[in-house]
Amino acid sequence: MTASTFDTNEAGGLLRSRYRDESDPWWLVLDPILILSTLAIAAFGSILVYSATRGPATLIEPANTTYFEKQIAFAIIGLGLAAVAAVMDVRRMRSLLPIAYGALTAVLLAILQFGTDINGARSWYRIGEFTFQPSEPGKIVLILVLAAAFSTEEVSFRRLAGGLALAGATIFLILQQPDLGTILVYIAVTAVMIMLSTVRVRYIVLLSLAALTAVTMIFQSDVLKDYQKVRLTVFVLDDEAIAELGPDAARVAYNAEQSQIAIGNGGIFGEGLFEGTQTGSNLVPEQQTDFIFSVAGEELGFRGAGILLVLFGVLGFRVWRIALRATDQFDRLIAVGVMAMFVFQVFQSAGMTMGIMPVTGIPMPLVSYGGSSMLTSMVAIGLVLGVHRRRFDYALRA
Amino acid sequence: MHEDPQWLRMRIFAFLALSLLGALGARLWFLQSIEHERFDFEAQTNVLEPVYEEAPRGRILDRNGRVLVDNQVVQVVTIDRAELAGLDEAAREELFVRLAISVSRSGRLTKADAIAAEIADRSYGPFERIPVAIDVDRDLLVFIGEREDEFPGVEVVQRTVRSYPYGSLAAHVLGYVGPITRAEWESVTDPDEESDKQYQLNDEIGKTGIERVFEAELRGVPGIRYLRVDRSSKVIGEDDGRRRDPVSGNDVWLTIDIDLQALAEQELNDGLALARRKETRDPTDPPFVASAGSVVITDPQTGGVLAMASYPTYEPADFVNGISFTQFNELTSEDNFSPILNRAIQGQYAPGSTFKLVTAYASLEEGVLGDGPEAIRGIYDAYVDRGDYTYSGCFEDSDTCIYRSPFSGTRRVDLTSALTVSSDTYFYEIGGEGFWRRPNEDLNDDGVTEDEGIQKWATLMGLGTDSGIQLPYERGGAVPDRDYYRSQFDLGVFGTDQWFGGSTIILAIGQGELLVTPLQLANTYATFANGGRVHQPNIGLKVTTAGDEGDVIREIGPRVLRDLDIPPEFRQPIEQGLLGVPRRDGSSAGTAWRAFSDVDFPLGSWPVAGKTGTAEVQGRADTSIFAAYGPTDNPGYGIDIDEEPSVAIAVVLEEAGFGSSAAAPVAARILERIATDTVDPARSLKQTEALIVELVAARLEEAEELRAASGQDSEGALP
Repeated sequence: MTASTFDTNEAGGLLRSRYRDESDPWWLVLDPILILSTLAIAAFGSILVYSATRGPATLIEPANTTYFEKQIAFAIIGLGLAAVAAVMDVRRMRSLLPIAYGALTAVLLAILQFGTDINGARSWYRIGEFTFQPSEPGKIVLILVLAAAFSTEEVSFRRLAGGLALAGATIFLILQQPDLGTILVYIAVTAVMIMLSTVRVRYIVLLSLAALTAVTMIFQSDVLKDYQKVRLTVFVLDDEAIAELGPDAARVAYNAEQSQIAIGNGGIFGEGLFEGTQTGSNLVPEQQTDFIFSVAGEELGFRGAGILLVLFGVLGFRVWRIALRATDQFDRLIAVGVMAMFVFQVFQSAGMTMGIMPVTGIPMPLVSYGGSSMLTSMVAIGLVLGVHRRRFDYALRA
Repeated sequence: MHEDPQWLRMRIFAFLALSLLGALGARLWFLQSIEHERFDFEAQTNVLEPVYEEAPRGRILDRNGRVLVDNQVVQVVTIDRAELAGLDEAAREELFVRLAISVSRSGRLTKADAIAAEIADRSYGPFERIPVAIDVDRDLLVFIGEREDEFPGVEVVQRTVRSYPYGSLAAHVLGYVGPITRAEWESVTDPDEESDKQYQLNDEIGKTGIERVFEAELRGVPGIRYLRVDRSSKVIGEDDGRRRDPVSGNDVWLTIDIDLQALAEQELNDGLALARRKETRDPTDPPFVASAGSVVITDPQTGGVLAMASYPTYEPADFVNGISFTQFNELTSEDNFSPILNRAIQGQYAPGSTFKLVTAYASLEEGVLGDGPEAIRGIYDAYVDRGDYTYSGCFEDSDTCIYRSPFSGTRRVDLTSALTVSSDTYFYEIGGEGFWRRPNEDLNDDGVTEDEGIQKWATLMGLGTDSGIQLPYERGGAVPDRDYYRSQFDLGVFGTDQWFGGSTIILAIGQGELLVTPLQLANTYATFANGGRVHQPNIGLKVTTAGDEGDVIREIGPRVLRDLDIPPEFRQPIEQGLLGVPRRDGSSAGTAWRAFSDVDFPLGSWPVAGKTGTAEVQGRADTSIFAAYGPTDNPGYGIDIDEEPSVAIAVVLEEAGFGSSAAAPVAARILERIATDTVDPARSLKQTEALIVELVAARLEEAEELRAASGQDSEGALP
């Protein structure tokens, strides 16, 4: 039989797959490989967080396990949320999306007034001893909203413009914080979801040209502050050019260089867990969050860091496979959006530590320390598992 | 089969994602395999060790910009610990001995053991140069510099330390700095917050006085250099990109006028010396020890402290190169009258009769004197003072007490003259009949028990609590009342928790458990002088950036705690009474008239309102006290000047006798210089030195001339 568009095939999906039988066990609806790779990455990440934050760990001063314990707790809470997200039927909750989007914009607007500054960006709310970064769960809202907006038979120009406006508004608000890294994630997610929607190719070409012009113009104008431009460009410059840019550029370049030295120092087999001299002497900044890949690189070497990348590859492949087999366009776009988010964040955060991406910090999903990021990543996986599950629901009903 | 455009796009997307992951993997391989050698080397040579360089502290200046605390460059012999590690035990010992000899020869006695002890000090980082001898002779710099092989790792470097151009002047106010203790370090270091001014364990920190209170301003931003160190702890270079140069701390200006400060300290010193020489009237009385005291001068209009003297004093310069344990013990020992104490804010004394100002003012505010229904008599009604005051029910109802006073005979006094001649019985009666209500007599419930009116107004005028001046370790004194008695009884300090009529009577003349600091006393008189504004006294004037042309960062304006808004009809009779104190008017003389007539005080152009006080201390000679303000305009003595009071003063001399005989003359001599605008400029140590050199030269010249003259004479006389 021929697989045509999603809604003509009663079995759903671009690829045929087997129908679910009444006699099949309940866990058949799960994707064990996706779940296992998620757990493996989270466990890997927790160990890296521990290595980055345990301190010198001497007899007098025992290893600091606070970060480690918190990270594990976040992961466990995240798994719970993921289960909820997987069981929910997101398709039936589409009517709630305007409320979710409204809440997101309100929270992003309020943060400019009531937020807490960390590292020069006002991206956090402080609640007691916890800080919470709303632009993280905002990614989920963005994915769902765009999935809803673009899941029609053909995405008209008006629909495309509408979706762009919705994404643009959140991006504009995050630009005010300003959190450059998160903006890049939002842009990547939006771009991929447009590309994989049913929008016509000519619009995609048109949009790409417009984006290219916009990027050029933004760099010419004052929308970005000087230090932000420096951060975006410093990784391609040589020492002399950096020296001309002043102390801020020098510091950014220094961080990037230290991180590369750390990874290079690791070699094939690594210095050994907890033995990294670069990371151990705090030469690399923000090791437990944005620069965490350098800990893997130095302490575990190509073997360990490579395994981490392979795990992400497996995870990405499973999400892609689920997207491929999704029974309707809304579900598929959810999976595609989540995959875009994961791939881009991994590429950005690992690429930054190796000097092939600009120094704008974003967390490595499931790995970097932080509750907002961990919970968001877990919920995203949960949503994809939901997409996977619904494929069988459809089959069963049919 | 998959010609669907969606399928194509999914493939493109997969390809994109795969290539991104592939790029990461390729880069990872490049860094970790192909370039590994290079990075491995870089990592080895890439441990950065921060080395801190203390920034010069800000200076402390007086209100006119004269530098009271400065920085001075001294030579410091240092040893590089890393280089020392390369020597064996014997070579090290030999080096210490050789160094100790050289340093001692240059004039600073040093032992090899002391050097070894410094080297062992754990508070220095492994790459820090450790100072082993401070402030050595300049020649040593060259001497050791030329003999590098004889003194491995030894270097003479320059360092800035505190210097005090005016010597011990205002030592208690300025305070001193010293190496930070672990407890101090922990209290100023917040592990969660990165501060530019982060302390290292061998940094200096202000210990007392202005140095302590304005630590955050005075401390500069330390410089940091990052040394590149390889795995064997060898320094192989420096990371210039991250170097930060030290930034000097801010200058702090004081309200102190150093000329006035010099005058106050001189007169305090002289006053005590004079008091010591006096004989007691009765040889069995405790002797006039007169070894401690304080003078405080403030500006009543702003609350700024113009001078704050405390005796005995100390040389803050003694702390510069580290103070020895014995030396520090001498400064704190009570046998030496604790020179380290700033008696102006830490000495607590019964104010004696100087407190009658407060009692008188409270009497008017509470209607104890005047025309009201509660009044025991009018302000100008006469009371017959017979020298003592008998009161029944002073403790238990059956007790009758006779309160005595130094006066014997009979005289008629009203409020004004009672202050002028310091009639105790007049104020005893105010306490006993006016304020004290016998048990269950109408006590009202406005929060202050009505018979605690004296305490209420004393507290409102700022007594009994810290004044809030910007100096550490201030003591608040005490205004005793029922609550205070109860709390002291609970603490086991007092034998009773009962407040009796006798307690109020004693309080009315400033005796009993009442305690004030000299600063509080001056501030109380300043409050009365300015019409009721209670200031929190200021000693800081402003903060500027470092240098002679520094920008003002912060100005410290007057801090008014509350305004009592003293009505003129209350102020006038009291002030008139105080104005009489330094005067003699026909037959009646104020208690301080002799002190003021001795210096020919220009009372006409600069009227002084003051009060003597003589506070009894068990087993010791009396505390001699004088408090005053001026110049003041008051119709009472036909005075007509158009000036607001500009000076308030409190003089307290411990174990020195009557207020009129010891403290009043000190105040009179100081105020006379102020009134006639003849305060001598304070001499700095350099000026004093130059003066001595000049004097000696003049004397030598004189001697030379004399010899020449006599030589000629004798020659001529030869046959």
